[in-house]
This record gives sequence, C-alpha cells and structure tokens, in this order.
Amino acid sequence: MNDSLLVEKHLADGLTDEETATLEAAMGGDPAVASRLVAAARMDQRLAARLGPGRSELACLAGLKRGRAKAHSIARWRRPLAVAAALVLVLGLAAAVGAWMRSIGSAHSDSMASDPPRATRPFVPARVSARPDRVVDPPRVESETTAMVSLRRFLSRYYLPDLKLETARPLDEALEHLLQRAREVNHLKNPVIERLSAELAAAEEGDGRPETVVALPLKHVSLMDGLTWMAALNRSEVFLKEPGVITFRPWEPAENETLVTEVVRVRRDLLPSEVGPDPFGGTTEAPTVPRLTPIELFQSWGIAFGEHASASYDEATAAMTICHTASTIRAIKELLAMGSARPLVMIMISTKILEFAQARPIKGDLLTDQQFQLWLREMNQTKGVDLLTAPQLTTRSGQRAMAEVTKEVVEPMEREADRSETEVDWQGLRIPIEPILEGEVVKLLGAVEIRLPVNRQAGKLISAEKISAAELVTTATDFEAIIPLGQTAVFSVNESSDGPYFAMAVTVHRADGGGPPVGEPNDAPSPPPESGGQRVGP
Amino acid sequence: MDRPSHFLRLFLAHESDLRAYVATAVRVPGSRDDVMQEVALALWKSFDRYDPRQSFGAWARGVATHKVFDHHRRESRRLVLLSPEALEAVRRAFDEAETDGGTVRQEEEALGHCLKSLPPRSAELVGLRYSERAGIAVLADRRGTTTAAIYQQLSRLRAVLGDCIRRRLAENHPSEASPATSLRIRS
Repeated sequence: MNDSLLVEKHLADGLTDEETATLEAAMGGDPAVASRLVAAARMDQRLAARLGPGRSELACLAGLKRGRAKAHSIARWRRPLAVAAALVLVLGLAAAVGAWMRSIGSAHSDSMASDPPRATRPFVPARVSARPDRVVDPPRVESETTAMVSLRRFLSRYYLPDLKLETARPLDEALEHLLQRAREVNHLKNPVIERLSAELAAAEEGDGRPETVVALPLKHVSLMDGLTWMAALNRSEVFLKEPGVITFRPWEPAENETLVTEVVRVRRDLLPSEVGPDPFGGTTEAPTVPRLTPIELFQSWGIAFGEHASASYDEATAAMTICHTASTIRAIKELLAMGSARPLVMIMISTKILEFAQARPIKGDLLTDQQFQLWLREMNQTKGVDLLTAPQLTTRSGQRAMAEVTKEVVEPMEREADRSETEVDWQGLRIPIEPILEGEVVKLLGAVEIRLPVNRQAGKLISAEKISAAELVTTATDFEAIIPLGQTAVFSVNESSDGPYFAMAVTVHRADGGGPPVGEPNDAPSPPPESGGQRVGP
Repeated sequence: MDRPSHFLRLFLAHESDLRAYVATAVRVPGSRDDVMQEVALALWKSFDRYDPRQSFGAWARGVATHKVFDHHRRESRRLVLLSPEALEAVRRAFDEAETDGGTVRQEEEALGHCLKSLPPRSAELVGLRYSERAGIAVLADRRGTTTAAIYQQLSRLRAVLGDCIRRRLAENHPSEASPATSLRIRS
C-alpha cells in the first residue's frame, strides 16, 4: 500500500500496527509525507464540516447558496399559491353526483356502437355494472361528506387506458387533456363524466396560467390517480368539496427550500435495465434498451432539475439518492408512492363455447348476469346444444393473454411412405385476447379459433377417433367487444358457415388483488409474461 | 472584546484544523470526537495563558498534544496514537501549512465553488462519503470496486479540490497565494 492509500486509510478507518509503522517510517524519511497527511486531514475536516449530517443547508453539494435558494423559493411559491387557490374543477353539482349514484343498477339502453358488425363485433353496452367496487379506497379527507367519498371512489375506479402528453404542458392544458380522455372512454355516458368540466379562475397575478408544467406518461391510470399526479407536480393535494367541486389545495410552503439530500427506496423495475444477451434465448441479437437516468425519468414526469439538483440510483440497494428542495423531494416521493400503491388492474375473463347441432345464429347481444343465467338454462334444456368448454383467464388490463384448451396432434407428413417425418399440429380451442379497462367498461380485442376433427362426436372436444386419420376443420373469427363489468356478451362464432355451429359467451370482471404498481411512467416491462393468462381447463 | 468572544472567534477559526490535527494523531476514528471535546475544554480553561502575539493554532496544537497523551494514559492506552516522532512531524507540517482566519474563510468559499465544479460521479462519491457518512467498504460495495480504489479516488478528489482552491485564491488574490503555500498543500 503506497503512502497516499495509507494516509486515506488512516483518516477513514484507522491503520493496523504494521501499517502505522510503515506510515511513520515514511514520515520519518520524507517530510512531504507528513505534509500530505496534513493536507488530506484538513480537506477531510472541511468537507465533513461543510457536507456532514446535521448541516442541512450544506447537505447537498449544490446547496451552497442559501440566500439565493430562499429567495427563489418564495418567488416560486407566490404564483402557484395564487393559482392553485383559484384552480377549481367543477365536476357538476351534487345533482350530478346524485344522478350517478341513482344510476347504479339502473339500465341504459343507449347504443354506443355505430359501425355495423363486420368481421369484428362491436358490442353495445346496455347497462351500468352493479358489481360491487373492489378498488381499495384512496386516502380520504376528513371533512368530505358521504357524497364526496362516493365521488372519490368513483373517480378511483374510473380507469383511463392511457394518459399521455408528448411534451410537458401547463397545468390547465394537462387537466383539459385528462378530462377529454375521460369523456372519450365514457361508453356508458355516465352523467358525472359527461358534466365533468374544468374551471380555471383568473389568478391574482399574471395571466392566470400556472407556471407548473405537467407531463403525463401514465398507463392504466384511474381518474383520481391522474388528478393526484397533477396535484403532486403542482405541489398540491386533491381536495373534494361539496357540491362536487375538486380543488387543488397547495401544500404548506416548506420553511427551508434549500437543497437537501434524501435517500428513497424505489421499485427495482422503476428504471428499465439494459437488456443483455439472453443466456437461454440462443440468439446473440439481444435488444439493448438505453437505460434512463433518474434525472431523465423525473424530468419525463415534469420535475425540473436545476443546475445543482441531482439524483442517482444504486441498483444494488434500489435506493435513489435525490438532492433537491424539500418540497420537490416530497413530490417525487408522493409520485413514487402513488405508483407503488396503485392497485393492479386485473381483469378476469370467463368464456363459454357452445356447440349447436343446427345452425342457430345469435346476433351479438349483451346480457346482465341474471339474463345470462336464464339464457344458459334455456340452452341447457335445448336439444342439440352442448357446452363444449369454458376456459377462464385472468390478466392485467392492457396485457394480451391466451386461453387455450388444446391437444397436440402429431401427423405424419407422408403417411404411407415415410413415417419418420412428422409435423405437429393441434386441435381444440385458442382464444388470444387483450382486455383494456376503459372507464367503467372492458374493451376486449380478441379472436377465437376452434380446430376439431371432422368425424368426431358432436359436443366432445377431444374425440376418441384416431387422430392421425382425422381431418381438422377450423372455425375462427375475430371480435371486438365493449362490455360493462359483470356483464356477458354472446355471439355466434360462425353463423355464415355450414357447420359445425358455435357460440361464444364472454363475461368480464375485475379481479384486483393488489400487487405491483399499475403506473408505468416509462413503459417499464411488465412482470407477467406475454402468455400471462391463466389457463383453466374445460 | 470580552474573553469568551475572543476565545470563540479564535477557536472557531481554527477548529477545522484542530480537528484535522486530532484526526491525524489518533489512529482510532471513533475516539477522535472524544479527544476533540477534551481539547476544546482544555483550551478554554487555559486560555488565560495564551499569548496573543503567538499563533493560536500552534498554541492549540501544543495543548491538544498534551491532552491526547493525557487521554491516552488515562484510558489505559486504549487510544492508539502515532509515535511521538511522527506526531512531531505532523505538528511541524501543520505549523507550516497554517493560514490566518481570513484565508481560512476564503478557502472555505473557494471550496464551495470547487465542489460545484466536480463531475457528477465525483460529486456523488463526496456526497455519499460526507453527507451520508458511508464507510469505505460500503462505497466500494455500491460502486462494485475495491476499498483500495475508493481510497485512491478520495485521495485524488482531495487533490483536485486542493488544486482548485489554490487556483481560485490565486485568481482572486494573487499576492496572498504564495508559491510556498501551494507547495505545502499540494499532495
């Protein structure tokens, strides 16, 4: 160990007797070594005095201009305080909330589908779901009334498939974007959403436009989370007031707005890792995704990092060291916490495939649970109608999955001549499907493909015939459906063919059980694999 | 100026250097604060004997040296010290490097500017070491390197900061930054 390292170790950790002897001998032989020790010790003390714990004004390397930071903080708060106090979202009055509450369980007959059925089948939501809400209640404000708590719950379960702005925009514009997206997915014409409007009163100074800029990189986010996101970026909290008014209430300004350093634990998948070669993939062409730096990530959320602010991420401990003002660190922590606390939006899709001995076209229809049970009973009592299979799967909103009830078929390519070469085929049922929760309905994009032997016994998925001798007949169709939660869409799979004749029933439910965050601010890879659907046999 | 104010002004101006001296003399980092407390108390008690015509820093280091040895004897030799010869070499180096209170303040200001000019990775290392009080082993673990490499990086960082401080002082006060001072501080 050379002299410099001995000096450093002496100051930091202390030396062993042997190392001390070496250092002392060096100092005896060369006075410059003692000078180096002194210089290092002085600098060490100065750095400790300037940056050490308990010296909050100096805790961040950049936070050395206390006076300037203080003045800046006051200027920064003046306008947001004025603007935020004036920023009011009018969501409709209590009548609207009441109308919405009364609408639960009542029927709507509005048709939402405008395009006639073609290869795909749009479905018309006919009823508001009466299914109990499973969303975990967000934190409540004590003074909120029951009606406002109901409104908060409603906003918390009203999901937007995406809430994105390409560039950060002023708060009022971002807010208008959020409301517009909410109306776009309001397939059930919910009066609360229809009457949702933003009202931005003039600020006390300036032109009334808030300085805050908001970036919206969110996916599968509830309306309430969207509002909370904007509020945090605006250093505010969302507060509901009667009658149906949402305000952004500014936080109390921090006493000290100098730069401070804080270590925050984050999800390990917050920053997408660089993708290396897959050791099991057998390919050398592994995609490489440039890793976002913490600052780039926060900036994509709309958080500015000035000249002296910083953020670094330690992958080993999943710790983010953030150097910023106290209020900004609070905002970052709230955004991180919001992403971690948001429930995973899971959709359970139950299907039933019925086979008819005779052609029985079923025009796309939407049934309540009670209506569907009656329909099933009727089918069960009808001769020539068999329930072929009823696969069920659960996947997250926006995640493509596959329901599959198949059996592998090994077919010789040359049945008579050469039986050594074979090809693998399958028979059975495959339903690739992607559910997307939009507002209060689930939009389903999928297909159904049924491949069965020609000479099998009707109503049996796997026949007893020799498969190698069988010819497979394929029945397939694509479908697109918009189904309110808890309801069932029924339709014919092949109404125009000569048979066999199939019908499909699809029921959607929320199956949230908590778990990882839904928010994917930078499109981080999702934990479930592509075929993440849960396969359930017939 | 009354006695307490006079003492405080001198002590605060030299506290950083005095702590550095104690840090070099005492080999066990965990005992340095205890020794420093005793030194401060001893300085206050014996402040009547301080001759204002002499350097306060040199006088304080002399008192500190006695207190370090006193503490060493009283604590049954639990404090491991440098040898008297090595300690004397350190004292001489401190005496040569000593600056007056005004220069200390200028150096402090310069240090603030120099810290801001550090590259992000270096600034992070300094922040972790001094703000978070991360140990050398922890730093090495976090950065996926060896403790020797961290010692080396910290050593270079201090040298860079020392050079930066001298440059700034030379730019702002060319006559006050003597070559001799620069040579002593350079490591």
